[in-house]
Amino acid sequence: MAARGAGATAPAHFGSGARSAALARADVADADPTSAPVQNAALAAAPGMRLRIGYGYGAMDLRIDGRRAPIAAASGIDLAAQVGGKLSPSFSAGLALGAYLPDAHLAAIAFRPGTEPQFFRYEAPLQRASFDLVGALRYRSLALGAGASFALDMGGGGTRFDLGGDAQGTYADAAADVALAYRAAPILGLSLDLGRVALGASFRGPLAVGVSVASDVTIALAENPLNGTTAVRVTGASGYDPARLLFGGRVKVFRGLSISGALEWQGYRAAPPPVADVTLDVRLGTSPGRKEVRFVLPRFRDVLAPRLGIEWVGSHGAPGGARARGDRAMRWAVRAGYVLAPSPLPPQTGFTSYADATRHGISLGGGAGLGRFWGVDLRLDAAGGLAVLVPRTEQKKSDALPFAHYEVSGRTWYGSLSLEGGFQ
Amino acid sequence: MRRLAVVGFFGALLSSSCGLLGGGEGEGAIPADGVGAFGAATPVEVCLGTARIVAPAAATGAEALCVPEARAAQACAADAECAGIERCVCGRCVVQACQGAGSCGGQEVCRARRCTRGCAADVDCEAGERCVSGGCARRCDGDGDCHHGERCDALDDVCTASLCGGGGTCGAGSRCEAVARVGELHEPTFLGDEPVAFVELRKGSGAAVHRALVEAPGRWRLDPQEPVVSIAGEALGAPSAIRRGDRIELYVAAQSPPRLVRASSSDGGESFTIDIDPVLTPAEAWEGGWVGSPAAFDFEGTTHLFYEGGPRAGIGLARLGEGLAARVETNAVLAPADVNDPLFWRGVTEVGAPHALLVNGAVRLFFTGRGAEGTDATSPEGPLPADRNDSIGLATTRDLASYSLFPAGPVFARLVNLRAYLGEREAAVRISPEGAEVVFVSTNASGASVSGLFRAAGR
Repeated sequence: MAARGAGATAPAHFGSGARSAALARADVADADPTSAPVQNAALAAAPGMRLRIGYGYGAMDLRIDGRRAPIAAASGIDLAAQVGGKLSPSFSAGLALGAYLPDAHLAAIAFRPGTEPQFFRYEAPLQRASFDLVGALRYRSLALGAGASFALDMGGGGTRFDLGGDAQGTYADAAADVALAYRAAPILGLSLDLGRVALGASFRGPLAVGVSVASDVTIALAENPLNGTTAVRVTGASGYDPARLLFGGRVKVFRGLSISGALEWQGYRAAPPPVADVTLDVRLGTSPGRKEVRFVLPRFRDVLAPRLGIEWVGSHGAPGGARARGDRAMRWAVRAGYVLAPSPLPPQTGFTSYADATRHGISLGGGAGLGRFWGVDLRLDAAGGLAVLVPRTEQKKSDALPFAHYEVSGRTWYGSLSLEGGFQ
Repeated sequence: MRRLAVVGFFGALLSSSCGLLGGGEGEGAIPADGVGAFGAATPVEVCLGTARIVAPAAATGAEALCVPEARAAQACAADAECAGIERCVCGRCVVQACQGAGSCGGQEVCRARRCTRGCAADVDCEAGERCVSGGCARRCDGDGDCHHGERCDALDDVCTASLCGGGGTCGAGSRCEAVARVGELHEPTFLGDEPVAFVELRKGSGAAVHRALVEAPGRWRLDPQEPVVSIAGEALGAPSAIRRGDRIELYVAAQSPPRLVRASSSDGGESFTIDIDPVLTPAEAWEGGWVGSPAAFDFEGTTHLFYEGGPRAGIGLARLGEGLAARVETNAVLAPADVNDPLFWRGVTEVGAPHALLVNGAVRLFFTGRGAEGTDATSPEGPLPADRNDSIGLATTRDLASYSLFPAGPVFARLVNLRAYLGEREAAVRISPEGAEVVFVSTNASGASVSGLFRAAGR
């Protein structure tokens, strides 16, 4: 059995907000304050109050031997809020909250046979809700931020079923105990804004939906040859998001043109198998009855992903910038980005057949400052992106293994819209 | 204009959320590639005319029914499409003929020579039926009121069935229609990707090769009804087929004396001409004077044959050319000792029934092995050794010199009731864009009782 997924959530994969998506998430040094929970917690200290609502849709056309894999599109609503204020002329502080709500469900936890080819970076992680909360403190040009990203574990006592007989005849009892425990990963951020040049660094700890489900059945009937107990335990991790470290900078080149660059380290080496462990303990009068299925660790590799973003802002200023009273000038920006995402997947050699390949992603987008409505500065951003997987062929050492030879290829498309309101 | 953009944005957001812009998943799960991951097995219905071929162990003696002369059976693809107690047999709705208690399954009983619902009184039956001798029967005024395979008994005004065949006759206005033919099916093989198969049919002490049209994944029809390859007075079987343009080459095992022969057809397999000279006769010590079960395949421009020696002593390899085939190896390329695994497949003492196909440049050799996959256990009554049984194994090669075995024992084996294994042998595997399937001969663990052909699709 396989729990799908070791990869980024949708915001971490595509970007939090359309601006970040258009810049291919290279904006660690100068992300929007509402994107601080995902991009750089330190940027939550910006004075003001901002609310953002957006929608993103990622279509998957990922293929195994030319056949399209059954991967659902990643689509959902992106919500963000940020509030900050000056504590003194030099100090400011702020909080930011980011949430992503997939269209279909809060989280997808699914099991597939471990030998079946599976795109572990594109399945369960992109179907999981995410909730990030950060706070930041800024002193002049230096800011520090910290917070946590939250998920839920699925556990509890499991289900129990008893079938037996007493003086009153045959009875059946059933009980269920399912608990969704909180799980959190740390978020840290650092930024240094020197005006023309800005630097930023961001760290997120690993996070997944832990699954531990048990089912116990006890049968005790008179003269029944199959009396005894059966216990099934399934444990695994779904939607694993690896630890990430993002370093980057932004340089204002001239007249509204700025270039952002970032290097992201993704700690896939610590990823658990995308395949669940199963223990089956059958005690129906014979022994041994215990069977265990455990797949070996996937041995994923840490990767470094370079990102590049270019933004050109119109002469009236950035769409999200503060406006003076009476300033009704149209503000605009156009953006482009590129990311090279190496694959953490080593060559496949055994029973499992994970599918992944190096990805080249390009994105384009733009933003418009719509002006002030009912006291709120509104801005609209849009982004679109295309990512292409470099075709990769797996050839296992033995042809007597499942999927001894297969080719991975495909592409993904992404589009997003964001509407942000600034309350000055 | 700006306000319009804002309103339009929210409109798009509301309409696109809640899953209205659906996910659009791909074509379905990636189909299994034939290396393990087969699902549950179901019987393959093999039809000879109107009759289903049943193994001797499952025969009830009720092999033919009297049916009204002028009435045709309703066509069907499954039991659910038939009325009342009719079952879908070889694409036609007909009652299930029976003879003797225990010859019907589930809650049904054998009354008036067909399986019907058991009853104690009329109220236990459907409207329009009566309870007669413990079984429900339709009231009738004429044959038209009855299920196909029944006639209206003028004395009791209820529908009953009459067996015929084996000397029995039907009255005026009816004919004898076969519903079952007793025989053992062995060594199925597909003709590439075509909906055509060849299979050995054993009746009594004789055996011959038939062509079957694959009408549905779970139904084959022998067409023509007569064998396509046979020799008077000699058992022939274990076919292996290769398409050569308009011709079909069939490699077949003959028994008297044991040898492999080649037959050719230029009419799509309806009839074959057998070559006078055999392609392979026993010669090596390990073959024990017996060769059979050929599996022909093309590799690097040459036709090769895996074959069984012994019998069940191992699998050999020969290269075909002009005249007699030349052995590639004097010893078996796969012997029981090669397959034996102390953890996954223990005590393997027999290997045979090869089936070969070429996938991505590698030759996959499926074979039958006899050993024990399960672990020994103990119960309050004493030790419970694991059942020895036939299962399907897999070896692969890219050079016909070195072979890699599927590392976890059999690639296909069935387990029932946690510890009891069934037998699977003489497999044929086919891989298509829709997935893999294996067709095999199903037996009990000891192999003594043959159930018939079964099929499992890749998950």
